[in-house]
Amino acid sequence: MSGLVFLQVAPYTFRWDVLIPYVPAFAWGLLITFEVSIAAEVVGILLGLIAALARLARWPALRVIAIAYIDFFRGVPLLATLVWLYYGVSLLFGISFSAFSAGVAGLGITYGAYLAEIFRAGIQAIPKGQTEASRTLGLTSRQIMQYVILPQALRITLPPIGNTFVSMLKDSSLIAVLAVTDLMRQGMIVASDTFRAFEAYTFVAIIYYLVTVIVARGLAFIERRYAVSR
Amino acid sequence: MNTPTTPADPMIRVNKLEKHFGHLKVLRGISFELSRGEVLVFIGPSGSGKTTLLRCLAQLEVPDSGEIWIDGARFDQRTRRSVGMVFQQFNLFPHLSVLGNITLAPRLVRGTSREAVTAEARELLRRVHLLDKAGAYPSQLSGGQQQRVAIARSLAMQPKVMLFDEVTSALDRELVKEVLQVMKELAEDGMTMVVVTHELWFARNVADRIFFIDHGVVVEEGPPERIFSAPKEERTRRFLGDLV
Ligand SMILES: Nc1ncnc2c1ncn2[C@@H]1O[C@H](COP(=O)(O)OP(=O)(O)O)[C@@H](O)[C@H]1O
Ligand SMILES: [Mg+2]
Repeated sequence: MSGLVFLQVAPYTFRWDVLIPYVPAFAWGLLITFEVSIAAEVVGILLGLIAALARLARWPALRVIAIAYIDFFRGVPLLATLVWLYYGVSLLFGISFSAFSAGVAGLGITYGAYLAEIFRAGIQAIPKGQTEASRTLGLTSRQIMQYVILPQALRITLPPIGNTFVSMLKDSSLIAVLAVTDLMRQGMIVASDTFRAFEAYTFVAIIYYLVTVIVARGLAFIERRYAVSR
Repeated sequence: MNTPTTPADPMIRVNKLEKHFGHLKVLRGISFELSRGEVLVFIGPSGSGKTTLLRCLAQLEVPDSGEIWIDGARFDQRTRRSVGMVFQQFNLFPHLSVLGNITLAPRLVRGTSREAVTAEARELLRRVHLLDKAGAYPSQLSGGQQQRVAIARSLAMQPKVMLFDEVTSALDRELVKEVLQVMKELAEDGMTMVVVTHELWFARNVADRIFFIDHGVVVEEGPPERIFSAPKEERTRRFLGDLV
């Protein structure tokens, strides 16, 4: 047993009070987390919708592009995408992104790939009879998609879209590596300022947990109201 | 009633229509002509090709050979609007109100103003006896009411021909009559109709001619009185025997 060293570990005493001066910083970080998440979700929904329509398009080239996009960003780790976008793109093209924009873009593009599959499933869940009835009424393919299929498909995809937003709130913490001062980043800063990493990260984790639970419950509530009033 | 432009032209002319699904020959040379205002009823066993025939007439299927002429014009994309179709499963748009269902296509396709289209829609709802349901959603209506909305929705595109594919088969017994009644009134107003139905009341009282179809061919045709009282073909006799 000679190689083993037993450290005498003193029982850890939490010092939550050291966090008190940083409450405004955490609050600010949470706000940034929401800003990034909402902006990225909007980007993701737009890209996802476009990719889903391209995925179902009659033109094969469009389908191929959509499939490549979906496969690529579902396959590459989000962190790699974020870092590559922020550092790589500015190196390659000399464009300098703000860390915030790079974060929103990376999250949005990646989530777009997942949302594309959600939208596709929603579109394909609409019975064929809807399209056929529309055809006999003389509607064009575009009109059928816009006025008949999408309004119904979006309604059934609302719950899964809500779920992606809950994940987004958590995944957005990865942009802390780009030095965007979101909630996670504030935790890192506080940890190094106070040498109280355990308290700082525990606090951050609890806030993420509470926020995602509250948002998820809120969305579920809205969903139920919506389902009843329909 | 419409004034016939060229009464000599048949409203529908179908010539040697064939349709296969893979190796399955579903329509094997169907030909018929239908005059303006005539009501043709197709009867026949399940799987005989009735739905496929109507779907070809509505351009939901592309025939493998044969021709379809509507009102003297070769049927193609531009003439699609001249044929309306009502389905067994209603296929109403669940996210739109009754009025929304009826006005969507006229607004988008005919480009008529919202006011004019709404006035027309109300007139159509009066015709199918549902004026009080204009603001309701399909899920709030009975099957019979939904099917009458579907008829009104089709009529809103001012078709020259209406196709009905077993439109009462999904309905409870007591709701069948109200739909058949609307169809009867439509026939009396001079609409040219092709109807697939098992409702003998309708076939006897509204049809001008009955076609018995089996395995993709017309086995026997004639006026309802004769088909029902003295069918020539053994197959027709057996089918009618099974029906009653
Ligand atoms: N899209 C399709 N693909 C393959 N077979 C089909 C298709 N549509 C219909 N059929 C077949 O064609 C035959 C005729 O069907 P249908 O026209 O629906 O008959 P009916 O309406 O007289 O009951 C049936 O055997 C059916 O299984
Ligand atoms: Mg059928």
